[in-house]
Amino acid sequence: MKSIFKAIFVALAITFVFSSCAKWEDYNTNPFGVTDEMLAADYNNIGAYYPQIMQSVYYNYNNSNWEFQLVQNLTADLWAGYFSNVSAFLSNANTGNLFMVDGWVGFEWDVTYKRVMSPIFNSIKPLADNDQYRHFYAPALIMQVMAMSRLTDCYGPCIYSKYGQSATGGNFESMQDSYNAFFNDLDIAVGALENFINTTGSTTSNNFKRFDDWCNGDFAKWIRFANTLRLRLAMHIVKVDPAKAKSEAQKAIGNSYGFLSGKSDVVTMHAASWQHPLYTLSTAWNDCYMGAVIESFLTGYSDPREGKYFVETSNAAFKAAGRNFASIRMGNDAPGKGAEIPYSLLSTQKTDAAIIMVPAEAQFLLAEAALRGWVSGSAKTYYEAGVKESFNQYGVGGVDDYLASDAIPADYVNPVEPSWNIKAANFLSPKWDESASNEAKLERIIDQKYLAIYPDGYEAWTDLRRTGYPRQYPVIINASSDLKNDEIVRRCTYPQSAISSDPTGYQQALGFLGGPDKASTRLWWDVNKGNF
Amino acid sequence: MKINRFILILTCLLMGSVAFAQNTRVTGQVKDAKTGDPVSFVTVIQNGTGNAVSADADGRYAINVPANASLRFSSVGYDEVIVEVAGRSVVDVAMNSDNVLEEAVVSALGITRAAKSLTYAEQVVSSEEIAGNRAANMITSLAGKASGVTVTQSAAGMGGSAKISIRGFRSVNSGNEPLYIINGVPMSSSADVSGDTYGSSGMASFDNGDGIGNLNPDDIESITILKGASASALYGTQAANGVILITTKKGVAGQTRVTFNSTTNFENPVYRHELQNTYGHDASWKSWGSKVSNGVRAADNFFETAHTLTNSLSVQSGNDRNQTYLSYGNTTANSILGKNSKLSRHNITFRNTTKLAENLTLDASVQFIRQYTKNRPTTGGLYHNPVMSVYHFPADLNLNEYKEKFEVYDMDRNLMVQNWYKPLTANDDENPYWITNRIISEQWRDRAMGSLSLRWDITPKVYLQARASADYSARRESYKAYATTTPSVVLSENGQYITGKRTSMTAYADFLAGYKDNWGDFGFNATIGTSINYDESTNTTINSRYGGGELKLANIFTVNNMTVRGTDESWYRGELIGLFATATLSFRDWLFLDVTGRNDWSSTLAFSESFKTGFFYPSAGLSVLLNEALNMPSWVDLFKVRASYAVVGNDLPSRVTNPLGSVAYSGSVSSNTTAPFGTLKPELSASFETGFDLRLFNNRLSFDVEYYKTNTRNQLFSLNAPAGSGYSTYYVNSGNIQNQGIEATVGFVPVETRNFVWKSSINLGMNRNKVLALNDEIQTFVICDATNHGYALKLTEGGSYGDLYVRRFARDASGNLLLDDSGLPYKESGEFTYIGNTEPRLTAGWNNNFQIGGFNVNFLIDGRFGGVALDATQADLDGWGTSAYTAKCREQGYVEYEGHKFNDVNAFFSRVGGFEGINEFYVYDATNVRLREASIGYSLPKKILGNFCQDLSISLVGRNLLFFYKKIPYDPDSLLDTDGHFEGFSFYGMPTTRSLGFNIKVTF
Repeated sequence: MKSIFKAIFVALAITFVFSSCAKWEDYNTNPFGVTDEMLAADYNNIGAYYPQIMQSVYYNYNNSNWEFQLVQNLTADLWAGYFSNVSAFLSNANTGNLFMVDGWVGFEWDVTYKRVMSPIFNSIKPLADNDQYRHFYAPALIMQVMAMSRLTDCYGPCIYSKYGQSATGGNFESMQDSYNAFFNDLDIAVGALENFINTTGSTTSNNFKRFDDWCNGDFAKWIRFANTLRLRLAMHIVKVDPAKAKSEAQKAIGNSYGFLSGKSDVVTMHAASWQHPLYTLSTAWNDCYMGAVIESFLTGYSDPREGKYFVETSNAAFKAAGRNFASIRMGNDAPGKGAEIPYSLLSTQKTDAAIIMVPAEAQFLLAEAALRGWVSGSAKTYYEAGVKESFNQYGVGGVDDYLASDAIPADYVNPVEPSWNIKAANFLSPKWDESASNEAKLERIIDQKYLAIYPDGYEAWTDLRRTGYPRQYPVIINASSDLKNDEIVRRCTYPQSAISSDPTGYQQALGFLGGPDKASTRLWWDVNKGNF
Repeated sequence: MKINRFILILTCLLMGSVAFAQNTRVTGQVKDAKTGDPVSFVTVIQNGTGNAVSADADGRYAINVPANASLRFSSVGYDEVIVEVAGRSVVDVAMNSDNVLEEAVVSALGITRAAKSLTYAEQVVSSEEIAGNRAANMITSLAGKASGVTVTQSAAGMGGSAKISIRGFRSVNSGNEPLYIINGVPMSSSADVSGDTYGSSGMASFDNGDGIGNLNPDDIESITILKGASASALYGTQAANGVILITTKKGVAGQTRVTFNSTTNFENPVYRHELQNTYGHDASWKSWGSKVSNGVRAADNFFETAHTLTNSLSVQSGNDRNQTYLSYGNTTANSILGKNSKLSRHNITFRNTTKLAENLTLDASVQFIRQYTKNRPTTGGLYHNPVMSVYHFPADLNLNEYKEKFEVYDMDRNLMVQNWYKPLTANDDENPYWITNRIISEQWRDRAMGSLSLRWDITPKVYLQARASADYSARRESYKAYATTTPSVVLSENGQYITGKRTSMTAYADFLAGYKDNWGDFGFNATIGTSINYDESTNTTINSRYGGGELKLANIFTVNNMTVRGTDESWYRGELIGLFATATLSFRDWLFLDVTGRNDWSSTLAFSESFKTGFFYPSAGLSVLLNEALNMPSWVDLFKVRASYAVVGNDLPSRVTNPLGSVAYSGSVSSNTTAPFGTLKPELSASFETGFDLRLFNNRLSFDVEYYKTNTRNQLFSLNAPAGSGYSTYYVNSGNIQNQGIEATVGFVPVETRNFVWKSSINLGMNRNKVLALNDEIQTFVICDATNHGYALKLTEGGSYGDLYVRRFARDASGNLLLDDSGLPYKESGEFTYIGNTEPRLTAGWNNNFQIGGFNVNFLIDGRFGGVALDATQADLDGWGTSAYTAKCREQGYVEYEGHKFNDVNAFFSRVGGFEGINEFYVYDATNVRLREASIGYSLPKKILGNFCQDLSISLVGRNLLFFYKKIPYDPDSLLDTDGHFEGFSFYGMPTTRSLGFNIKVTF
């Protein structure tokens, strides 16, 4: 009898299971998930990934804000001297105090691979060979170069050329290889866009434009952006590979589309639902205030951009000391956010577009190229054009007076925390001095570039490491084991998650890095010598 | 024996149907065969008919039956007796109390088995133990009553969820909650808890309760705990964490019994942190200001007495063929936050058992539950937490000024804005009366459970059984935070609105066939069957704050008023089909061999390699009744030794095999970055257990001891993928987490006389957890990382679940404190370091019951020994200077620690106290021993009651009455969440209450 029952049950169960196959695959599929087939309409299968990528370079994907704080604001933005805080994070053993907080410094790595590289590789690149989609791929490639150059400039050797080729790890490469690949990818992107414009006679494509929150579908602007980016990357490697730097710079200069130029060429991230993360960090969370280094310039120069960037303090003590703006030194010993914080918040609003790249940067890069004799025209002309671009961008006047000004950066004065007071670290005025040395000329160029590209902390930090300018204040509390108070962070350590997920790759990375995995180790292009 | 009885019944039936005779009145008394005492309320049935009566308290009965009838006498705790009337008019009966050897117990799948044949440990808790002294969540009444079962609950109190951990923590990712089975079919009990040191999406940490907490404790007949894998092996994939079998009450044959039960409980937050009232506030609003006189502790006046009123009315009725149980229960409660924080619940339960034919039984039950809650207390955390507001409040200010005027008119905005004595910032508190009046969170939950079970005893040897059930619940929720609720938390000046609806459904069906037979000395008992489980849950939650949105117009709480309308949508469906068999082979009724096997196919394995084959879970066990096998003295009632081995699984998460991209709040597509896991396997727990059950001297002394060892492999880990792989995370099955331990229950009856009985039992549990392996790629698995508040829980190879990592003092090589230039200790540099394990080394309960005449006195003392906990509340209070400890130090002029005296008390606590101070100072031994329950009840004698009712008893009950030992400032039983992330951690949870109440039970 038992065997009869058993036979019945086995038969029943098998029927259940095999009739359930399709149904169970259904059950195990998220009905709110999306696949590329579902997205095909309106080119969403490729285009719908762009908002994610575009929100992940100057990072505020899905307006998470706190991720931006770790991706950039508590690292590069701080180290560049743009911002600081009195939040006493981790009892003042945080990145401002030169300590590599593992949970923080890993974010740039994780989000760039996750939100930029992965969708481009998995969803966009596979379609790139198809004529229908080719023009989509070029902007993605330009964004990829921008995001990944930032990543490698942050940590050092990374996985770029051989991305996606191994599920088990490895495939790190030298920074030189990555830079060569960046230039190569820019060649591909610019070539594809030029080809599109030449064959269609149009500089835009309606099916792409819908997704473009950076350049509004203007492929000519994308080329100008790529040229400016190429010039930026060329200048990064000027100390270590001057020949390549020169040839890439001249390639950028020689491209007929030129560089970003004029107020309408500011590349920004803007979308109806997207918010500027600095608003939340500063005004809502009170974790981001005016930094002491930028305040020294803006206050000392009476720079009209000061009020565009920051909000005046209402603190009586600062007013009495003659200061309308109150800044904070990085790496301070504040006990934490008190009831009333006297410092200058950012004037950034929630709905502001976020700056990806400014046209002024191109002029300052050209000024530097002129110093090196790579371009015709004088460094002075490009330098002044850069300042003018920036004033024009912010709609402030008085640029001629400014360029004639002998004003010097102001000392740091803080009547609330007088122990933080310190002499100004920088000393050059806006006025060009043709008789100065190339080194001094470069310092002046970088100082003004620093003010113009605000709040691009990553690029400012790279310039700081590459050129040494603008000069920074020492930290008050140093929580680092390998940096001295007056030394700057030269790189982020590799995140623990990257090390443990790919131990072989990590060993490769260390080999290419050529030094210990510490904040004091200089990157490939960060050569310890003068700029000339 | 049962078979014989069955044949007897059958014979009687046949006889009854052919015979016809004049009815006569038969009377008599029922007595205990051994003691000669009357047996109360015995059911007397004319066999084969619906004619039945109930004996009275003195065992006397009268029934009209034909002279040739047979009478069946039954009563709980006694063997049934069938007596032929044979023309007599007086039939006195002696009943034997249940023979322990014939005791029947419910085992997996609701299969009733002889207790002696079990090859593993299981423990039964009776209704009196659960309903008699009820806790806020019915299931937490198990605390201290079952060895190896750790019962804790969220710090929310009212309506909060419970955390039941059986034989330790074993799964990193797949959950550690036991499976709940009610009357043989699964019940959904997943908790909806979000405990975090901040809060959740702008809200406070919340605990919306669990499924089990919805039940009416008065409906419960008993709870059986299947602790080990061997006991639960028949549940296959769902069995790893043990099973809790709940049996609800049935109707009774032969009488109609109406029971009214009313319980009123009062709770006061007597176990809260000690606060000072002697120092006022400073410029930063912390209480490091100057001394004040007549200072007030705001916490003394803020909390109110919570009360819970539960009334239930049940009717049990029936005859030989049909028994019905119907009940209505009603609960209303207020939390210690006052009248605006409340719960109400209605329960309707119906159960009917019918014999459709003599060998065909239909059991049907339906339950409806409606529950409404408003402003549940938070489990802790920074956001919108009134506990933090009150504990921070300076002694020199008057909280009452902010009670009526929790809001004031603002001309600028033309609305009422929050009124508080300091600025509202994200990391600080807000007005507690604003929180209770202007952050309104409400939930409506409707739940229906129904089940049908049909059993056909084809022959005495063969039965078929089919069951089907469904458990459906729907919950609507609404959350309205008014404008000026801390804007930096809400991320809007205009308030926050959340609305949502969730449904969940568990449907189940199974089909069993059983067969039993004897061949000489050998007995055989087998069941084979198949089952299907279907689980579904849906959720649609719209939060004005998602995707960076907000309310456009202040205080208008509609979805249309949201700028982004960010929505969480989910729909999960899963199905599990099992095919199983179990067989017990016995030899001379003293040797039992038990084997089970189950193969499961699961929809969560779709797209994986194992989809078609499923997974097989075997178990085998052996038990020997030494007292029968060997010649043993007669005072040995039972001596059973047993051993068993089983391999069971743990529920698989769905969609791991098929991850997809999604559309984010902003409408952008978020690509999938998780590699699909095609080789997914369920977690497997291999478990061995062995023990003995020894009962002596007529059951006056008993020992039940068990050793177990469980190894849980194939843990599902989500790992960071190598950066260059194209994905950012991927899954692996790996690891080996071992739990081993000893459980012991000792029962003794020191006194047993006619008027005085003292029954006592002690249970002990010791569990040792060890992580034998994780994964080659991860040395450390972080279970919880709340480093901003000084707490991290990590698993490391060689470590244990519950390993606590905190920031410690810098010390020299010999462990002495290092001091800096200012003479203060400072923190160790670098990452957090290990300080101890949060899990108890030993849990113990001592339960006592005294019957003194009509009085019934109970008390339960339980304790946990060992384990540490971090009290971040105390750390923060010390940092704020509001703790009594800081006042004491200021009075004496120093803080003393490890032989050092630090004279600058303020500077010391600025450094050591606070969330980010040196938490080592706030890690305490969590050992505590408490008087968990005490009650005294009195049943009025029949003489007084007369004909008014059958029984009337009143009792006074108390819970958490006092701590005999507790050095830690908070109650370690209360948790920030109940899903195992925060173990041994307090962060402004609601203070633990002492509860006192009274209960009246009338049976008509």
